[in-house]
Amino acid sequence: MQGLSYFHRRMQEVKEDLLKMAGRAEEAVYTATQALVQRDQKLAQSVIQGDRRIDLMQNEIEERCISLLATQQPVAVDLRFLSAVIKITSFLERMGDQAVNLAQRVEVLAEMSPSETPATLTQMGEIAREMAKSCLDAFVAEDVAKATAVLVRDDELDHLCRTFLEEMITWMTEERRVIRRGVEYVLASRHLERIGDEATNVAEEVVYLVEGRIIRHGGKPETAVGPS
Amino acid sequence: MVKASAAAQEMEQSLDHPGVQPERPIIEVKGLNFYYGDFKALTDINMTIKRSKVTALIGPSGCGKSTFLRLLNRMNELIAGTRVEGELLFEGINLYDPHVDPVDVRRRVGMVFQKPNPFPKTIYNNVAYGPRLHGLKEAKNLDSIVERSLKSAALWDEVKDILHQSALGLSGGQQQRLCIARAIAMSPEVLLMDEPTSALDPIATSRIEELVKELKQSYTVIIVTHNMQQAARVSDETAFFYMGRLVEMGATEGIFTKPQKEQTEHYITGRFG
Repeated sequence: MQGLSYFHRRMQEVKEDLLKMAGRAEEAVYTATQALVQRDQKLAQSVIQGDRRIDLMQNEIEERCISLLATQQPVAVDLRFLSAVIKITSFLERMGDQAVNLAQRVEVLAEMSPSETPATLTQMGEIAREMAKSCLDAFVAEDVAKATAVLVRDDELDHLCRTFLEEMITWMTEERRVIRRGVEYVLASRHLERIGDEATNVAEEVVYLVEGRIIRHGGKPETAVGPS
Repeated sequence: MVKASAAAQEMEQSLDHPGVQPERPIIEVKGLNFYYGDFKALTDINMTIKRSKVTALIGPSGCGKSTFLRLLNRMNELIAGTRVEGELLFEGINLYDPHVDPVDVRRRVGMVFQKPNPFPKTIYNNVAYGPRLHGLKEAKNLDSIVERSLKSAALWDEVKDILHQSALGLSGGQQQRLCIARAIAMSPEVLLMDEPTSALDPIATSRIEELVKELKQSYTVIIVTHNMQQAARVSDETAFFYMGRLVEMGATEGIFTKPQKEQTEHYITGRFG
């Protein structure tokens, strides 16, 4: 870091801390999906216990960003970076929460009689996991193409989520005794879908960071705010 | 004013009808080069300055921004050996047309300098100095100009009871607002400001910045500043100069969030060098 100004050294530290937090959030998603497939209560427990650290990291990073905004008045790419980091920490924290929710479903499912995890749900878990990883890779590499690819995968995940709901409705309608398990699966699919949404949010921030272009909600509002 | 050319006549006519075409930029610069002797200080500057807006000129020391500012009211020609090429159109008239009178240009394009420089006279006489020089004698009219100018410069309330005391007794911030009032007294259309707050404390700076935002309702303001945040706070448009060239110009919001040129980004984020 030699040669960097005080401000840019602090910015580098913020980036490193964000990557540590991202690593934990990604790990939480990975472990929770593993726990789902393997119906492993211990893995689920580790996700739930690890979430506190992710929450605290969000607070720490956010405070540092606000302090840099207040004292250094950054502009251009530095301003976009800090703005993106504040939002990304929030998305990662929520990603961690969804991993916890998924882990809680695993705990309930693990107490039921053993049963194979539905293939669609397993597939959703893989996609959510890949999205969590890809959005962070895009952030590290400041790669817009990679970030945009995450948005495409989210459509795939959403589609699978709807398909899975139909599957579950058919299954539960035919066999009422599986309703309890079916509801847990539907909830789990919802948590995976939300993990995909948070990864999408991160990817959208990467586009803003690199290109200064707001792409969420279909782009920059023209008439949504301001005098009517 | 010399009336020997069509340009000069046109200039006089536009004096009588200022602001006829609000959409037209007040200043247009085309292929401008400027030399101090053999040294080329500005190279191929092309830009437009929008009417009733604040335009900030930024860039490292020696980039040509102050030189450019001084060209706008023909102050550089007071320096021997300088030379201008290209066009600098003010209301469509080339300021460097040989028939245009520099004194008239400086009346229409006022200037406020880095350090407050009030005359060693009373507050009243500082403001009345220009109008008197241009032949205004009647006390009633002068009183009215002094009051209006001091009000426009947000100084009236502080000095209305001490108008006949020396201007040198005012604080630095008040002196700078007095200099703005002195410039306004000549009813200019453009106000040039060369780092107007660099010698002031944060409170006085803040007052000048607020004033600049109010002044743009009546005047076009062009301000040179080394303070990036000041440029971001007060200006509508920002122009970044580097090594005598205009690198980038655009809406201030765009320049400070997503500049188009890498050089601009490096400068405003302190990565220059």
